[in-house]
Amino acid sequence: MDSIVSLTGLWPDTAVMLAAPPWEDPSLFAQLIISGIASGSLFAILALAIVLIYRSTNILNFAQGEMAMFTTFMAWTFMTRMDFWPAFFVALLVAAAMGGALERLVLRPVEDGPPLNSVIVTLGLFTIFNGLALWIWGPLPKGFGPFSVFKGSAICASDVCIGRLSLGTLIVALIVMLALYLLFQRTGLGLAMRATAQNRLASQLVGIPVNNMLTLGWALSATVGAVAGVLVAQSVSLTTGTLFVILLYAFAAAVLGGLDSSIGAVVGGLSIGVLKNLSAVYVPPEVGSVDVAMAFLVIVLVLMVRPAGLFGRPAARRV
Amino acid sequence: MLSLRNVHAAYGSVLALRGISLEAPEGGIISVLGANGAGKSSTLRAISGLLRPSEGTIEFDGKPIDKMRPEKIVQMGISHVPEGRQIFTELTVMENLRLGAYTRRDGDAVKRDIDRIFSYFPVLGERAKQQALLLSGGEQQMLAIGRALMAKPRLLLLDEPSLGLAPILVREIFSIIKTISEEEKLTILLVEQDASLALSIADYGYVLESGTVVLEDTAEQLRGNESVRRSYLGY
Amino acid sequence: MRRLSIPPPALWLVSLAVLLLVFPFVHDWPVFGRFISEFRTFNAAMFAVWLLVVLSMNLLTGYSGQISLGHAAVVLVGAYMTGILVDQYSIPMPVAIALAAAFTGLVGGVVIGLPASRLTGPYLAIATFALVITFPQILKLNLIDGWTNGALGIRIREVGAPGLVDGFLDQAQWLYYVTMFVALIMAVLFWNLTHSRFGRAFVALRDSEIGAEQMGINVPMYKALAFGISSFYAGLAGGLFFMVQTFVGPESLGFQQSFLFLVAIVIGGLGTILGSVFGAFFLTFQAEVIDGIPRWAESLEGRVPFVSFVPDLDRLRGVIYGGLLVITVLLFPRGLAGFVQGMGSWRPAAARESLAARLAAVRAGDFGAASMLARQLGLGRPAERGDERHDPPDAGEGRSNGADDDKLG
Repeated sequence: MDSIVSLTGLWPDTAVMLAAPPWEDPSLFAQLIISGIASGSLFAILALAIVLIYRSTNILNFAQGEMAMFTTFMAWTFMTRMDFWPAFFVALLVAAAMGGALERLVLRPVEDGPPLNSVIVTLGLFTIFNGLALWIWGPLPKGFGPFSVFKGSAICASDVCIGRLSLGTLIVALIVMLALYLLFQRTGLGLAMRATAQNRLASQLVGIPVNNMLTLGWALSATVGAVAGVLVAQSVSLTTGTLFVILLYAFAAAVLGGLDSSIGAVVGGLSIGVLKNLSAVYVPPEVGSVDVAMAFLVIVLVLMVRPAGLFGRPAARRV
Repeated sequence: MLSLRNVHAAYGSVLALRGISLEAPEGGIISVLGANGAGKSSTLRAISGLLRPSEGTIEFDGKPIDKMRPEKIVQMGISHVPEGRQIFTELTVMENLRLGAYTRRDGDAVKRDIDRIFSYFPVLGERAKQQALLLSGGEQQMLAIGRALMAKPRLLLLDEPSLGLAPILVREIFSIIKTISEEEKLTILLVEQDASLALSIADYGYVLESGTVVLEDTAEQLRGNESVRRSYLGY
Repeated sequence: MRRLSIPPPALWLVSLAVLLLVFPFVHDWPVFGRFISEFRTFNAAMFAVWLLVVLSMNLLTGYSGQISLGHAAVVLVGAYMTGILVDQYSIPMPVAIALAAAFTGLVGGVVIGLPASRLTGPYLAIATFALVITFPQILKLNLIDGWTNGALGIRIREVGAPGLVDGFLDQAQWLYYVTMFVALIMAVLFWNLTHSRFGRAFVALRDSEIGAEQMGINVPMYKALAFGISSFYAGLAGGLFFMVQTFVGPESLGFQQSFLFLVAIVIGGLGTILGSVFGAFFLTFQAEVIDGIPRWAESLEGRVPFVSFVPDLDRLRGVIYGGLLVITVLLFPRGLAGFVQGMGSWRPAAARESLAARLAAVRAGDFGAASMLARQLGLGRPAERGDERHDPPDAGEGRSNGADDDKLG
């Protein structure tokens, strides 16, 4: 049971199961939903990181997954030298510093340019981080093993179960979402960040140190991404490709929820997780495996029908 | 209080300001007149730090501010209400006003000041929780002015407050500007296309042409000046 | 004023034509054979295929400003279509390639272009990114197994030269002539297209969609058209790819290739034919060069200090390409083509005047000015206006840099 609960079908080409329809096997259905929510919470956290950058700098960060992967490798290195928690927090700090430095050095010149430039630069960062990780840590998977908090038997209600790791991931996703919500809606700093994202000129005029806000946005986002990376590495072994597929699902989640909404990112992430699980089981084997195609389909449908996503504000066209 | 000496500034290779010199003594309204492209807005941008002068000095209370970042200049006590208002349309009226006080650290006073802004512009109080996008043009202009006042400035830079507004609204806003300048002991540098309107509330005026000052005098004298009348007042 | 030291275009063109014509035989010649191996003929055929791909990509992204990260998928459509037609319906290769290209163009214009015409910038990037990641899975769907042959892909026997020239040309030489001929024709057409009304409309789209709308350009139509024509080129490239490789599978081209296509147009130079030629060279030789450096370093061991510290470049490949991409965008936004053109025909006066004119036009609205400028510049630094990577559509015809564009043609 635990294997389904963790990340069954996260990767393409997983075996296609034959399944009875939901009305004949409701507990399978419920199990799929629960485990979908669990794996979806990983997508949600990475989607939160994407949304965070998009709403503060209007840049879509294609390197988000690889940055998270890179910092997770660093966390792994730290963990060979110290305990989990100190290593984890050191990794988060390094991630924040890295995110902030990237904004200052690399992204700053393309922030005001056409989106093509920023997309190209983040794609460049994507392969740079991937290559660096391969060079430093090599192609062999690194075992991370679930941390003790997440160990132990699954929690079951009748015959529907959820693993502790999955539950923990979900809780972390909700905490991150709540923290970001409070930051943006309840603090002056968050208000200033929202203002900066919206109108840089006006923000300067009311005295907001705009450059610091943008740097802060990237630092925060890289930190959130690092959280996602460490959580992913808890359930599957860590390689340089680990976060690549998750990035696609996270994009689908962010688009579904609305690229500028942190609540949307979480709702989107959970929905994508559930959809993916359901499609892996209920799409008949004659069709073939469709988990990745499902993410693509969601992206296309949302963009066609409601480009602002479920929770996003329809953007005014920028002249 | 404010003095510009021989200020030059450029966008890329095109000079926008070619040696502006002007003085704004404490108190009162100083009007900056000129045709489109004469450098009026660029002058304000140079003062508030958005446009870096390539030559010349800008002093505020005797301290040079021409190399300061915009946020520092706000802290010094200069607020800029830009052309086109530039309010935060997706935020609420209240959030806009709170952002205006971003550089201040006196939380309780901020609340009192918001109430004071609402007393000048009661309509903003009624719409405090609404998205600024939903305000009318005149209300957006009031919000822009209110937001600038929230920083507790001693010098207010106002750029074309009449732009795109109905005449009756314009008169209302100008009379409020006059009131504010008197009650708050605020110095105002007013850039305005409508010269007769500007001179009606100003104490002193500067006339700009292609980035330099060509004429300065009291508002009264300017109103009587033959060439000002022909070029800017239209009679 | 023409520069006297450089021969007129006609002479260039003739030399180029002769070079291209004799190239597949050079390896047999006594002296040249020492430098050029027979394998280069195959390389050159692939170069022609990549040139079509890069042109396709450049039309969409370089000229029209529509970001596509999914171009590998579009090329795959052409390759699969050709494979299916040849393998299952026994349609002759040239006909199959033409049909496949037309089909891909249609699919690209209608199925991708029309929906995509509603999307801007980052959204388009996400959608095309998702497309290229997903496409292998779609190709492997059991539903269409009958056509695509699932994960195995489509393989055919090699395509020999037809009877007429058989014996005179070997297979590699025949493939070389076919692909190069097609690529040259298409490059000439490309030059004509981009210098026509359509080309100017595409550039207007790139500079500002709202601006283009105000100029009376039917934005959705031109966007769909850009996708359609670009897909036609990509489909053609896919057909030739299949012919040269005699195989196509779901993983033949994927995200990595899409990424390399982007690297190719950016470091070659966005929105120029010359840049596309450089980009195609990059795609043809990148793997070989990167694999070659460590061997070369090894051979130098003992003679050159520190050479043993040359890292394992194969693993650093991503870092190299990513670094090239970032550095090019930040520091040399006009790419290699811009660098070369800058050497040949420096035209500071004209550029500066157009800069002055535009600045004067925007000066009045001081507040919009800075951001408008930034947008027009691409990178947001007014001083670089003279380095603008493409001529404004309204700038006079017949300026010297137009001649650099058509070196290939």
